[in-house]
Amino acid sequence: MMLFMPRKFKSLKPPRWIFYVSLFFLVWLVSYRKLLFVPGNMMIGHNWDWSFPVAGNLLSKTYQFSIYTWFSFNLGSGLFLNISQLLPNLLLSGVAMVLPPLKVVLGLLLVVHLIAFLGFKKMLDDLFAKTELNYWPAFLYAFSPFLFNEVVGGSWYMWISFAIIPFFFIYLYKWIFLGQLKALLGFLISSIFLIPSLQNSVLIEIIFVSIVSLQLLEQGLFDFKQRSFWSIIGRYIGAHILLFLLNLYWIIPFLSSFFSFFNYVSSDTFTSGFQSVYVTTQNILSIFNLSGYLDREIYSALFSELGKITWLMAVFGLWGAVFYRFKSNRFLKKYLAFLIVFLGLVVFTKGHNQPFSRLTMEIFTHFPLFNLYRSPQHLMLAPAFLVPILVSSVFTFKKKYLIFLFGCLVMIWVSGWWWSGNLGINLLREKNKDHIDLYQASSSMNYLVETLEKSKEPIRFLSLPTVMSPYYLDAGWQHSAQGGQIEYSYLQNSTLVAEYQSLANNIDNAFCQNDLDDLDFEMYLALTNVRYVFVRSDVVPAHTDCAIDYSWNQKLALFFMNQNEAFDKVYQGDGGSIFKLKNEWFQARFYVSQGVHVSEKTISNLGQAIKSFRLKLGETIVYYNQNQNLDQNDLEILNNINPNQTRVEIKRINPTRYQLEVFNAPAQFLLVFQENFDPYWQIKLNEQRMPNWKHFKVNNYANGWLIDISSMDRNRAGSVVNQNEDGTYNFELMVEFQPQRLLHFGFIMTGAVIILVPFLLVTWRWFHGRSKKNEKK
Amino acid sequence: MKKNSQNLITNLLFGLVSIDLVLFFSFPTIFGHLYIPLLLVGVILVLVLELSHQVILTQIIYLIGLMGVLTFFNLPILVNRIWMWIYLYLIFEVILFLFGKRLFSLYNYVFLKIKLKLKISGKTYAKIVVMGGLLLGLLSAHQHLFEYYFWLYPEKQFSFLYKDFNKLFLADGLILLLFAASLFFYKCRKRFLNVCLTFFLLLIVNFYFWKFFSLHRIYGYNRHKTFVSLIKPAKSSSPRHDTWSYINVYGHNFGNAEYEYGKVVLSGVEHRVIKWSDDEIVFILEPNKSENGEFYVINYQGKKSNSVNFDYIK
Repeated sequence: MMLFMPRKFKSLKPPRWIFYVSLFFLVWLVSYRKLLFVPGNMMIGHNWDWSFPVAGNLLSKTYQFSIYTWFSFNLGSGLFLNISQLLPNLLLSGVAMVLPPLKVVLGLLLVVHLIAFLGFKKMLDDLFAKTELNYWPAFLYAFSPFLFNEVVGGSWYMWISFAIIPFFFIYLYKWIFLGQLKALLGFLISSIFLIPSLQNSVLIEIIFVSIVSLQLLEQGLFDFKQRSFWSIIGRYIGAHILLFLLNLYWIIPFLSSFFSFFNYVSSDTFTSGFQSVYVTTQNILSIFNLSGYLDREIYSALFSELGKITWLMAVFGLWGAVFYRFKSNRFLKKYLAFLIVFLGLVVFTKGHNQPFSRLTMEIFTHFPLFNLYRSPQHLMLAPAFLVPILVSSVFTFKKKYLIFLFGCLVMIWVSGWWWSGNLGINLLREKNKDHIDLYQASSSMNYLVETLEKSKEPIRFLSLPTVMSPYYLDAGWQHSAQGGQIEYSYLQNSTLVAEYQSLANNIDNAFCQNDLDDLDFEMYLALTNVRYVFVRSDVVPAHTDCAIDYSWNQKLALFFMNQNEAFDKVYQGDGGSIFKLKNEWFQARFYVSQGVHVSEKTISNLGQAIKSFRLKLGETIVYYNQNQNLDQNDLEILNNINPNQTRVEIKRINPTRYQLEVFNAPAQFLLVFQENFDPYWQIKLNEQRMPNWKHFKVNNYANGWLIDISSMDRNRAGSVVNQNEDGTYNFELMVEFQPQRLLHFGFIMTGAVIILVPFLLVTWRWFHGRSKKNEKK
Repeated sequence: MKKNSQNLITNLLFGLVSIDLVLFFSFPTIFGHLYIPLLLVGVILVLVLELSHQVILTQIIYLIGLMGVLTFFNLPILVNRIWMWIYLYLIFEVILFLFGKRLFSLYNYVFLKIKLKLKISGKTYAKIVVMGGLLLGLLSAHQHLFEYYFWLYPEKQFSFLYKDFNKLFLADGLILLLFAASLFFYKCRKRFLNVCLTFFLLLIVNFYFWKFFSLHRIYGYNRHKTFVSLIKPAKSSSPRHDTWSYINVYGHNFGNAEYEYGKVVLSGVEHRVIKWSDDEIVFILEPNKSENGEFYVINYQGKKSNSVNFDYIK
């Protein structure tokens, strides 16, 4: 055809990049072909770390994980590192407002592959030479076996950080060597998507520094006397100072929990003696073919026997060609820094596998940084990033048929993606490997979500079993599977779960051991602010005490609830029955104590404590040994608290801020806030802090404030507290989680950096340019 | 290049033995805390050996070819092993590329010193290294065999070793046979056959030397398989072994029990489990369904363990 085309139109021949980009979309469509037409009320999930809910419009609330410092799930805890995921969360929430959940996830996956593909091509162009053949190794990166394992078994923050790494790397590289402001801007923007994954950020920085140092050494630039060396160091540090300043919005509130975070990360509980590193099957072979992933072997399980041989042959073929290329010193020198860093990092990535198995374990146990990689699958990022760079060396052959052959080998290497067409759902399930699944929410779950989201009053629900990560039983809306119950953590009126909260685990155990007579269930629920109980018929415990001896009995739980007069059954549907605790048993998130039991000895099991103290509704337990700030006078006041008619109206402004209107309160009383105790919770009267009102732990987990109006200055009290005729008081309180203010301050600081720094940089560049011109003159 | 190709087999032999030396020194148990200095000694030894045959990348390409064949015949253990060699070869290649010239002069110096001191030729030196590698490989293999049996059986490991003597030490016999044959061909000056046999001999030692290789190949179970090693009380005549008695089963990799799958089966009948952990199960005998017969566990993945005979008297 081209022969008969007039010469002037020959220049209209489409550019080659169109071919590669079209091929990319073709591979993507083939890879996801079976998921593209799944109905919108379905979701991919039911695997650990899959963090997308399907019920209601919960997915559009993802941004809430990044704008509050307190997370109400599981009786509440400080939440700081999630704030760094603000922009990805906002984008996802925005898209979820328009599209159904499954389409959002597929769209996210498309963007991840596309950014990885284009970014890697650009990186190779800038690192070596600009050529369209760089699209081939970019395929190996964008459809990496490692990314497949991450998509099936990892978190979505890992995917986006993986995708952005080439941009991050090359912009930083260009900034420190060429000093381009555009590159600095690119580096800062890409860091927003990299930082949500701390492990990936640290690892890529290590890779970057190692490669640059080796290249400087090789070029003889690693010389303290040279000015260019110091300018490279200066630019690197400068870029990271800017990065630090830009991230102040989450770093400032995070500082409030830094030491507890550091202690936790460096503890044996966190590392579990590096058991995962010890048992990992990420051996040398699975590192070289990029399929290693802890002990899961997900990607390699996609292939049949013959398919596996073909796949491995393709891998061997490409590696053979790489080594053949490296026989020439010219090529070996060009890729040397990347090869050395790759070989070096393999020592850690392979875990306890041979060779040097003990050396690896010694390094893991003696260097604190390795605590971050207690699950060594995150280290597979290094080969996933470096191997396609090494493979790019084979696309320098001049013979076209060789390039075609190597292109085909790359396509076979990534064939795990496009062969199954649905992320290997059926293949992996058959082989009993980690797999994703398609599921819907049951009608009961939908009802529960709707009810809880409607409730303006802060309440909790309790599922029976209370587990977060159950086995899902086969049902019309789900397959038999195992994984996190992600809907739970998205609800503003959330729950408590057995895996992380002994209060919940005790309930499960009481049901499993048929020990319900000892459990004052209604009282137990009152002391945890539970309003609804969801008896589930579609899950059983998987990782808790009840799972060990198969003792969970769903029929018993349902029978117990049906018989219990403290509850009304409000819904029965597929997935289970929902019961509502009657008003006379419900205890609000904030309540004024009707009597206090002060004890020196802690009874950690709440059920036993209820029984031991014969606790009644509205009463509270204070363990003296947990609250050293209480003096004898306070204890006397607590002991003298009697039943009263105080009423509290609660307005939840957000999870970190509650407004309370208190009516008919006595001069001294105990206010209980049924969320986990945290010293950063503060109470305010008319926006003024009240340091004299003691804050301490009650009921072995919750917050209590000993409020003493009589201790206030009369003039001051008169302006904010109204005294009733019977001598009681009405007033307004505010309860706040203080680090939220730090977050607001952090936002202001980041905003200031965003506005000021470009201005300063441009000014600096202008002066710099001017002074250079003057020098030339 | 031509010279290099001619030396290929010799290079391979040297490579296999030298890398095995490194691996041997990297095993922790024999030398305890001395292993890091020994590892360094191993690496230096390998470098010294490799310096005389600087064709590492050619070897890698040949190894990849060999691996293709092994993959085709579905021999993943060998493929894993060869990738390990490739990885180590690559490290040496990079070191040689960077510091080759300096190391080569060091090598000449050290080698000449040894030759002058011990008055041995290069050939004898190579033989010493090959034989040393063989010996160390065999020692290491047996050490790990013992380790494995100690792990597998909490009690009476030696009686089980004795019981499995024929199967376990068959490979030793094969190695001795090949060794004798290679000596014979060496004496007969049939060099090609000698080299081939030595190559196979080294391969066998390599595989044997690899952790639990013999058990992988002979028994077909490994560290990740469910294995019942001990039942208490083991005999029906035990005083505790009456009706409704609790039986403790010890072993490995029972996994965390799941609802659908984990079972204990005695003479084809499932029994009620009281406790289930990764290495211990407790179940109850029931007179109306327990019989003499084979006992086995079905683990959490639905896979059957080995079978053990169980005597039960009602």
